[in-house]
Amino acid sequence: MKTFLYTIISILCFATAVRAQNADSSAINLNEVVVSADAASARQKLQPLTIMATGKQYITEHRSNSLMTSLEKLPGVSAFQVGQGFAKPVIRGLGFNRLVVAENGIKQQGQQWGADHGLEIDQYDIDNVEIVKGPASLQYGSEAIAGVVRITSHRWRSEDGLSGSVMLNGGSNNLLFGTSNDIYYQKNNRYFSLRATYQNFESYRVPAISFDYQKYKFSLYRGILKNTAGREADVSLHTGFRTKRYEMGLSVSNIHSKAGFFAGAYGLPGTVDMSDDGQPRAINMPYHEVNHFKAVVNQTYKLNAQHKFTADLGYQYNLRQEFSKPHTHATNPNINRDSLIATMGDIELEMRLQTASGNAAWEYRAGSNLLQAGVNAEYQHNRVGGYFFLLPEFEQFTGGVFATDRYMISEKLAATVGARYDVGYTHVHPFDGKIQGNDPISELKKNNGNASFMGGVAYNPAPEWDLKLNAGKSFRIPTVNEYAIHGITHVMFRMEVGDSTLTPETSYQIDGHTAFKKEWDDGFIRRVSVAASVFANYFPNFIFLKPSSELLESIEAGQKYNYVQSRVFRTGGELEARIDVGNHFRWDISAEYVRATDMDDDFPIALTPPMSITNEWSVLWQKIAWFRHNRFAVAYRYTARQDRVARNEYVTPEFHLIDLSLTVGVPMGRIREAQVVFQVQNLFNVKYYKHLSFYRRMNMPEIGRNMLLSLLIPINR
Amino acid sequence: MKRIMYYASVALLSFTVAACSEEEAKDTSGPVVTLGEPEKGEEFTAGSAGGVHMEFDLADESGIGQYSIDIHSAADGHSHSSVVHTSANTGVAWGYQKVYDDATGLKNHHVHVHSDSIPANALLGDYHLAVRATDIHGNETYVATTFVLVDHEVDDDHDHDEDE
Repeated sequence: MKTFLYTIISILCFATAVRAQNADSSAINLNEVVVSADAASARQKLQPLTIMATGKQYITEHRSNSLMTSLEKLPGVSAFQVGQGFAKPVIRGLGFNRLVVAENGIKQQGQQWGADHGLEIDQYDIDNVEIVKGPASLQYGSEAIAGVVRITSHRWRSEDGLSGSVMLNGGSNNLLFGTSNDIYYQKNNRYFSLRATYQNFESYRVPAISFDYQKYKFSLYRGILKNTAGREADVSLHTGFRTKRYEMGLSVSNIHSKAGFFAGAYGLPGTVDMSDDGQPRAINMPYHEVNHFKAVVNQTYKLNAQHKFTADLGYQYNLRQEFSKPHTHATNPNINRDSLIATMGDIELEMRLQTASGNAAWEYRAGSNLLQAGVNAEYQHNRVGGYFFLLPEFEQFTGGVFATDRYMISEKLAATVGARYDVGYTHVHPFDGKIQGNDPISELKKNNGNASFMGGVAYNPAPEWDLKLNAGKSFRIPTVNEYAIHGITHVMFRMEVGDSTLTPETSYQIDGHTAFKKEWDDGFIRRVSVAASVFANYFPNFIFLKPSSELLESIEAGQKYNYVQSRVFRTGGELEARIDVGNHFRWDISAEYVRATDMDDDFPIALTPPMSITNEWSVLWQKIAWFRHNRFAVAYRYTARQDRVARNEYVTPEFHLIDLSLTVGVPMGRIREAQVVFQVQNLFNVKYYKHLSFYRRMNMPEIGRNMLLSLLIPINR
Repeated sequence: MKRIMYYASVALLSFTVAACSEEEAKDTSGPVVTLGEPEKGEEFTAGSAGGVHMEFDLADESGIGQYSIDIHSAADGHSHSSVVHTSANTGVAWGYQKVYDDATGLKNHHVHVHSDSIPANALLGDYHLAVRATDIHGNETYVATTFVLVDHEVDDDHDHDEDE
């Protein structure tokens, strides 16, 4: 109920502010820093899907330890967090295999495997992020049921020449230091850029002195989560050339990260795992190391004003290894540890996933029609190693053909229809179960095929208004872990078991979106933009993990969870508003809510993000003494209690967080300016729990107060 | 202006309606486990053939699923809220893990079991005993206690000394 009180208060304040606009005061234009929803508006017009776009600037001002936590304040976007530095995207409560992260048009593969994997993308090597909320399956294939996080990492600049930048940053909580530097050269319709990023952090601190591990209480030395230190080293190279009709871009990147796992996340920790060893930057076992190599070629050919062809080709190699001493896994008398160590060393799990992907599309403009048609294909090849077993080896091919047409009924009204057909072939290799005394997994060969449809209208009755409605059916081929996972997942303290008889998951969705935007040259209120979205979503056979009554003879294995299918209904919405008051004040509101129910069992679905409202009040100054484009912001985030929980899932209490952010621009020469961003996250060092956190199961609070300073210095001739 | 408010209210109303939730009365709790034996801090003797004597009651309105017993040494110093009295010694790590399904479907069940015999050279000190139980829906409960394993030779020597 308190939840609604906060909602209503925010809404009321907002309504008051809207009404408060009157007509006096002088007219000085705000030199806009393009943030959040605005960048998308041009693209949004007469598109049936809701797209939120953010640029580099938004990420810089809201920078957190990983890309997804930097974007978390956007309405409808959440991050499933694994300590610091690693987070997975979640859109409207769906993540993992139900959304697509596409960088430069190629679906990122490797982050979907388990809860404890981050997103292997350099958050400094991003030019633009767009978040498509709602099913984008038509363009991106069957996994995009919840939406797409579309990342562009390279772009042509408006002027030729040599430029570059040096970025330095630091964080107080985990004594993070990082640097990301790039050089860019563009001439004669060719460009070349190189970026290197390095970051290194200590174990982080939480505002708590103890935590619970399965009814046992452990103390934390000075609130330090020992062995959560990590480092990341990334290199990326972009190059491209263009002619009048043809444009080509090549991106090659290698992301390498290594980070410790808090000992409590693995087996039963001893006090030695908690006590200070005087080496807070050391990464000891258990730890994981991930290397993601990616090469992408994007090509565009414009035949004439009507025809445009695009083609993307990508190759990715995701190598993921988890290291731990075999004896950390307590007690299975069937394991001969000495022989394990002799043959496998300390590698507990190893996954080598190679992915080759290709897209080709044709765009045809004819009169009032914009016709798009294309094909996607993807081949995955996974091999495993290590003395433990989680996921079998497999090969998977998926492919699809699609066609969409947008028809402009009038200047103000457009209708879009589309259809897609996908096929998938999955080959899971047998596994004899010898490692852990597991049940053997038999070979599995699956053929799947299914159709997706969508239809939508976009209506702009007046320049200020943008209304969208769309409905569709999408589907998703079960992933290999849903088919065949068989192993203990750390922290969750459960044995997860796949089901080879799962059928492709189908989703029916309806989305509505209303946006209003108006500017006034004078008056108290200069600019108002409000956007509200609602959705409802029905899955006749949603795939999820359900606890069984079966127990296992190991303290860290605990209970057996099986992948099952059930009817699921999901609904929710987002609200986003921005009000510019006078020339110097801005108020941003963003709110989100999702509700998901397993209709067969009448139970909530696990890992549904709680309702949350963020209010951000900023003061903007174009110029103070030498400093330009200055901004000071206070953000207040209220996250409601999540008590709609699945069986055995913890209720997460509400929390209030205050963040501060100060951005100052220091002019360097005529155009360039250096930027200093100082942030204080969790100002009051509040002890809070995040419902979508890997360590929630351990009753481990989230990171305490963190001060971040970053300095961006542009360099050019 | 009116129209703005109208559209905004419609959007917000649907948002609020979506946010309202009805109450649910479901079995969301695992079996109630009432530990009788061993009592917290109770002493057992290494080398005892009868093992650890355990008695506890299980109760669940929907029906018990399975229950498991896990005994492991706490001598590495990990603790729960009780006082730690870890003794440093060099015994053999001993433990007992077993899953039982003899109560499946029952609403109440009294458990009386013994662990395997405790080796004479078992690692001494604090031991953790954890009982985990599920109901037929998969709701889980976890209860833990501590007992102490003492050396049989200490007592023997002591008795022997007195006899002399």
